[in-house]
Amino acid sequence: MRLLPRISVLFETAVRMALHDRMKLAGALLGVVFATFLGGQQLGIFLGLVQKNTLLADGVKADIWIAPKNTRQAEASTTLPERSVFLARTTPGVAWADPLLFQTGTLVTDNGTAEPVRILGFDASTGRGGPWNVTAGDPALLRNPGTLFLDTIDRKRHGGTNLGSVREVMGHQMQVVGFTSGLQPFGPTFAFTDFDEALRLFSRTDRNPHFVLVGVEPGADTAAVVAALQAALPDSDVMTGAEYHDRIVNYLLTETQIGVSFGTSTVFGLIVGFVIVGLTMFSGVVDNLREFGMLKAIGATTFDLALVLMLQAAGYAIAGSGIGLLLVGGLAAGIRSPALVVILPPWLIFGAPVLMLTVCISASFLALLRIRGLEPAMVFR
Amino acid sequence: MNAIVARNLTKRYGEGENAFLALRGVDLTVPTGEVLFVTGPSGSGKTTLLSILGCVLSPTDGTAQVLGLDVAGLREGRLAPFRRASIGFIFQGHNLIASQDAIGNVRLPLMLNGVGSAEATRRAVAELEAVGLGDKTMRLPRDLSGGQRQRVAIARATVGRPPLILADEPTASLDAKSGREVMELLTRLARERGTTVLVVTHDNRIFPYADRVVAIEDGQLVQEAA
Ligand SMILES: Nc1ncnc2c1ncn2[C@@H]1O[C@H](COP(=O)(O)OP(=O)(O)OP(=O)(O)O)[C@@H](O)[C@H]1O
Ligand SMILES: [Mg+2]
Repeated sequence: MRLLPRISVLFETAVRMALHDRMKLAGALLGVVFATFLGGQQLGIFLGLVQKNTLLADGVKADIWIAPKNTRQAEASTTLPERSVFLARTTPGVAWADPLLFQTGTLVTDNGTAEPVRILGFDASTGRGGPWNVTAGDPALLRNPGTLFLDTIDRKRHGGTNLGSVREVMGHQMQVVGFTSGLQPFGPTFAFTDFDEALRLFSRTDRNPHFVLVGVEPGADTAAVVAALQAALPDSDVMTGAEYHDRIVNYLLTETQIGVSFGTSTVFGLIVGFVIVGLTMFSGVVDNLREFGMLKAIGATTFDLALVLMLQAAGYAIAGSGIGLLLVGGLAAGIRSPALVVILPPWLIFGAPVLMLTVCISASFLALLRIRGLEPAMVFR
Repeated sequence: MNAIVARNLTKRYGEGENAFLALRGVDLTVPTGEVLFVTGPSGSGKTTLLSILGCVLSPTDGTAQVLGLDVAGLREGRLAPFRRASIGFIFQGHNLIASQDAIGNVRLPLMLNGVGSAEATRRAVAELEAVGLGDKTMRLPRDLSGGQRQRVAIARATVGRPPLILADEPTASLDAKSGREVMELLTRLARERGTTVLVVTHDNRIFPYADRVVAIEDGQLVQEAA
């Protein structure tokens, strides 16, 4: 195979040339590291925000959600009529339907400070919509009046709560019978109690829920049940859990500045990386013009020299994104807290190098043009 | 057999008012195995002639047969493999790759021609020994003297045993002693191997190494000296 030695010598040339000029190497790597770091960090924070905003939609086990019309966030701005629950239960294909109340209330600690909590009122007799990530206590205990589950994240803030602690919630004495862990959306932590208890806490005279959670009968077609429910409840939004999740993400991306701000930072990082790599590679070619001209004169083709550039670009991309990912990983581990999570999805390990490969190879285009226009006769001048 | 047969070679640089005739109908025949020097004043067209015969520049008019191949008008896609396989180049500056040691520079043309790395390294070391640099094979160009660099360049040009070697002012950047050594070396290797060599130079101190010297003036061959 005559091609192998040729590729190997071009590879060696690419590597040695790149390593020879340390300043340029550092410059190109810095560009890629910067782009990877900024992009990875922005993505990580954004995904962390998404996770917090979809905590309810993802955590509650329901095949289908019924919500007030135009619900697009992690909470409902109004309530549904009580009969929605009954209408849902009589719709073909529905196995069960239970109400869920989701509203911010206040908890008063022993020393009198009021702390906000996100109260989830679910049907404790069925347990649907009840606590998950339970670390202490049995959710069945919530069938007893005057009980609630709190989250361990806010134990201190709630005045050092333990199993059996009593706290005043919305003017009512409530006993802590269990704990969840990590259920903190954007804002206060979750507090679970029975639906009827929640109505009592908020002094409600109606029984209107914010959501109706629906389970589909085994074998029934979820899409068909969604359509049937939507027909039966034209004034509500009916969607699967996944659809609700997507709605929230979509809302974050389009209706808030979050998408724009994270998007612009990422794009800015990519552009800066592109420009730095592009200029570095171009000036590298200009610096080594005689060497490239010599290579052309002794019979290397433009394609051969393009390969040298591609290999260098690939090297910058892989090494730079590797360093960048390590830095983002360190940052994510460093700033992780209940209130702020930086989520680095596993695919980033492949995604970042692939993206940087694209950036670096397209950035080498200018250098490539210079090489393509290089006359081999120039070495004699 | 002739290594080079050029007829009526003409080269015009530029267009219209700025047009400049660098070669005006050069006829030149170089028999295989000859060591031919081309001399002449600055700007007379020596490098232009060498570039055309080295297949890195195409003539405006005329024909050139290099090692039996009619090269005028051939495209780069056809010429690059021909240069790679058949012509060794030595430049005025050594034009070595600064980031590669002597071995790396010398085995470059071999590997571009498909010789495996181990074999190419072996042959590069042997060639560096032949040019007297057997103890400096791992040196980077910056750690070699001017004469040593030019000897590495000679090894790079000769290692693939090309039938034709073209050299443009190979001694111009060297002192007299190094220049003589380099020419001594190049012509000795060439004569041992029957290689045809064409050297462009206006350094008349090295004329004794030539089989034949021709002069060029204003783009025309004017005289043939012994
Ligand atoms: N690419 C070019 N474009 C325009 N004019 C050129 C070009 N290359 C060479 N010339 C002109 O052609 C003439 C011959 O140039 P060439 O380089 O062949 O001369 P030379 O004999 O090698 O000179 P020197 O001894 O100085 O190297 C010179 O006048 C030069 O200015
Ligand atoms: Mg010249």
